[in-house]
Amino acid sequence: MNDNQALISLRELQKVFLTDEIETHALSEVHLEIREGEFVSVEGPSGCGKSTLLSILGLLDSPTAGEYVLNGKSVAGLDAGNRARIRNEEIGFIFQAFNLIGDLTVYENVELPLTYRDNVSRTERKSMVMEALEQVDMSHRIRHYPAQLSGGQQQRVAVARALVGRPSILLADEPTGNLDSNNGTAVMDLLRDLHAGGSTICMVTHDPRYAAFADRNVHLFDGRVVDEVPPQSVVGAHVASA
Amino acid sequence: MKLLDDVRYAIRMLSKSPGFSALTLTILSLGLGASIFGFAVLHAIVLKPLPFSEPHELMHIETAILERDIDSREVNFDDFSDWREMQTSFEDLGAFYRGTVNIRGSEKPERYDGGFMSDGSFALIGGKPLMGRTFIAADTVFGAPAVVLLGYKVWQRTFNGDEDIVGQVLRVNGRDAEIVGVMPEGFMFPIMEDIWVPLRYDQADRQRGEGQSLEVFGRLKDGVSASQARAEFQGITSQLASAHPETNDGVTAVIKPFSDEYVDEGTRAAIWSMMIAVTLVLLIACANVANLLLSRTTARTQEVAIRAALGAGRRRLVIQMLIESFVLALGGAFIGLALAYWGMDASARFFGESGNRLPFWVVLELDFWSAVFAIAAAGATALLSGLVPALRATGLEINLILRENARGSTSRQTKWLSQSLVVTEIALSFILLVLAGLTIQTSLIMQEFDVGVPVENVLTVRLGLPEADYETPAEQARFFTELNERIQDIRGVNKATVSGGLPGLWSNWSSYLPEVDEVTDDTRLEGAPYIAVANGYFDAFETPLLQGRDFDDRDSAESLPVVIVNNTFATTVFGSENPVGRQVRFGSPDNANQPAQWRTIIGVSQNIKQTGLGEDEERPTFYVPLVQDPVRFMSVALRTSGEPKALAPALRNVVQQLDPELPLYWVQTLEEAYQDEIAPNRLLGICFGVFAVIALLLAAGGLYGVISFNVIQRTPELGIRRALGADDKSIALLVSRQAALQLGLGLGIGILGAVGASQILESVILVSPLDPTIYITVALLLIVSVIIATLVPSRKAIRIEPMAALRYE
Ligand SMILES: Nc1ncnc2c1ncn2[C@@H]1O[C@H](COP(=O)(O)OP(=O)(O)O)[C@@H](O)[C@H]1O
Ligand SMILES: [Mg+2]
Repeated sequence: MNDNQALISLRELQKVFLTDEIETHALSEVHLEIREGEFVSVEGPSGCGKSTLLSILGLLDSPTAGEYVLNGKSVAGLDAGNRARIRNEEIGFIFQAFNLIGDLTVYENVELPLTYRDNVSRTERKSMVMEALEQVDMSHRIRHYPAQLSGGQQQRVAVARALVGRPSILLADEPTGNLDSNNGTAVMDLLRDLHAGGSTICMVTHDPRYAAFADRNVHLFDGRVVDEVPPQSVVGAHVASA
Repeated sequence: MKLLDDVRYAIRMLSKSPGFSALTLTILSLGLGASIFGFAVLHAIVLKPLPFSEPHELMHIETAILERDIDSREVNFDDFSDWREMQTSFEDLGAFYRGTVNIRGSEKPERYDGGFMSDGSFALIGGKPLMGRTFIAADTVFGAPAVVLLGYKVWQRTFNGDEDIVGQVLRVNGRDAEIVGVMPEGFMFPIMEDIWVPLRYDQADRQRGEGQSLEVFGRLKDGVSASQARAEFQGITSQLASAHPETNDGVTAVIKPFSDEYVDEGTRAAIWSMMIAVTLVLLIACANVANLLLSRTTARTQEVAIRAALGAGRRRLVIQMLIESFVLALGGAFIGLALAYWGMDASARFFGESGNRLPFWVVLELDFWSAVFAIAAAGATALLSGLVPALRATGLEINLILRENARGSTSRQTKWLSQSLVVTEIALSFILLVLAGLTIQTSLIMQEFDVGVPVENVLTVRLGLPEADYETPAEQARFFTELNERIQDIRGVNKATVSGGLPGLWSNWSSYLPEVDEVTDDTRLEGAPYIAVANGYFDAFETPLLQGRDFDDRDSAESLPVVIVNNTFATTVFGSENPVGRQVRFGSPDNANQPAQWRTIIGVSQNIKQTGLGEDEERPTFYVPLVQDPVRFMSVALRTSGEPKALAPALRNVVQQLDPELPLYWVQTLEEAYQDEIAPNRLLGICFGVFAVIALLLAAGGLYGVISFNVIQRTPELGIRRALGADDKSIALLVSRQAALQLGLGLGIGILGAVGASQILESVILVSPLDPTIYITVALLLIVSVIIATLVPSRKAIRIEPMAALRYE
């Protein structure tokens, strides 16, 4: 039954942005559950609230209303320090723009999340970093700087950084968006392998080919979940309408 | 014309970012203003050639007796005349001394600084009279009719510029003298003299070496070098030594440029240290501006890259950016000139009001050379602050900029540069603040200095009896004794006295030997303050006698020669024994001027610091009754119950009753006299204080700018770190760690620099150049400034919303 326990559960989640007296309802009444070991993809047109959803899941932002339970605990009352700790320990981010730090080497970039923990020794850190880099097949480039790598290589390093801390969930926001199809596929293969190894993944994409890698496909439109289906039928629908 | 286009373009670019331009202009104005001011002072006092024809040929000559550690001594008349006759290196030698000249024209008597000049002096310096003539050899013969040469100011003020003044007769130092000429405006040789009389010696009853000593100078003949002159004088002085062993044994001549004599070493050191300070301010300003330009450069990489892609050569791009720096620097120089003008004006007024007199050729004003310096400094500033940013901006890989997606990597070198600039700023500020601390501390020590007597409500004046009217010591003593009695009765006077010098200001000196010592040929005599005082002096200055009695009517010219010694002398020589009744010997065995004399100690006074404000050492000090050893120049001190200055007219009346021709001068309160005394040090302290404040503001502002800019640049990075779980503390640490590192490095370098630079102040300051309190205070001040400068950007960094930072796609 462990497999079926909800790792993440959102209830009536709402996010409203207030800018210059304009209310943007980025998310409205979102219900979503992600179970441990699941690979969920989030799809929808630009501006429908995908990134907003992910940032709330990643505790980078807070919902305007609604409930967010992570690992059985509500995150609503957490202070900034605890939120930072959870981001660090429970969540791994992968961004469209890679977001590696240019001044740090590959090794240092991957090591970064571990440096924000108190209880990891240097040698432990080193073995964790090397393990993560081997998983993404980048261990031969540890002394390189991001600018010296191709886009695909940078994203693999970013994946290594996301998983080095052994988070409960990987959050990927259009991880292939800045990559050509070869590199994109390579990154997706990597995510599939991680999923096969037991990782929980929530990925935003608008490429149906990559959505097909997921167990389950959530459709967002105008801040609402409009459909929740297994991926195959979605692919079929797209093919049919094309 | 291309240049004009570039300038126009530069001005357009600058006016497009008014905030940046205004900030840069302000910084440059402060930096350049300070340095123009510093240079103008340096030029006016030290660098400017003397206003004499061919000033570099003029040499100053004095004597030294190296065997006795005397390296600078004025010249006696006999040596001067012998040298003048024997030497061939110089066209001629001149001699003078400076002294009081009292004149009485139509109205009240007036006292002027006068030059007592040998006959060749005016010709040597190229001083030509406005009308009449200067002195001829016949004027300097003792007993010849008295003559006087007026300065422009006296001529205008006392004689309303009377065109027929030459040939008229004027009362000068108690004698009728014929006015033989008037010197042109601005001529005040040698220092600030208003009037000149011929140098004369009564040859009849004078031993070799006796009499007023002189300053001697000469003009080198064409083709003769100073070292050739020195060689010749070596021969001359040894000839004189064998001819007159009793006076000239071991006496040699010291020849140096005339200008070196009139701005003393302390002043030179102070002014050079000020030049160092303003240079530091300018360098700090340069570092600041370089940093501003660097950040602007980063903001402009896109513009530059596009222009480069369109085919602009690197040289052209660099020149274009440098022109912007030049435009800014010239603007800064212009405003800086205005600031320096104001500074010079304020200093000149401060100095003028203090009654201190600089040599006449020193005019505290901006001149042509200040403008030249301003332009040169602006050019150097533009290059120094603009070149590196321009090279950085144009040397980047265009390719990288146009398709950069790894954040921050191109700016790594820029960052390194701007961080070392901050280190430089901190180091330079440290040096400057230490120099400022040392001078300010010195002026505070002087300000607070306790001479050992109450100084409030004391009116002082100086009187100088002309030799012609008061030839004998008895006449001089009679005048001052009489004066001392009459001033006691002035209404409003609590106590009054007459003395050779005032506490903390000046005094006569004498060499002395306590009776316990044996006098041998090798005995080195020490000198100490030796002050003639009227009866009641100690009472007037509220200084109790610790032992014995004060001078009174029992002491006369004929009675036993007596002395009152101070406590320092009593305890160092006699320990716990009572010195009353013991003897001290005054005068040196080989000085014919001052025959040795034994005096019996009748009292011991509490210590009064007689020599200088800030003088730490407790020296032996001697007081003698003025009836036994009168001097022609004495000070009057009135302790009053009300406003001291209000009693000046009454005092003038009393003096006038005794001698209608005797002018009073230096009429001021004792406190004013002290303020005047320390005015140069205060001015130096104020200048350094202003420079230090500017430097501190610039350094802290620069640091703030760099860190803020850094935070903005690192916004995405900080967002990523946030997403990866960095908490507030680690973000704040990240931002401030850099500042801490820069601070540490800057302080380290600064301390080394300050240890070196402060040495130059050694002769000017009253604290150790390594005074730990000042170093620690300065370090704390900088640490606090850095913390303040870091606080705001760190808080900004903490507040960065991770989502906003990451929303870059
Ligand atoms: N910080 C913000 N302030 C105001 N509006 C925002 C902010 N972030 C997102 N939005 C708005 O919320 C909506 C959803 O945005 P987003 O989640 O980025 O969409 P997606 O990732 O699906 O393209 C958009 O209309 C967007 O303009
Ligand atoms: Mg998005």
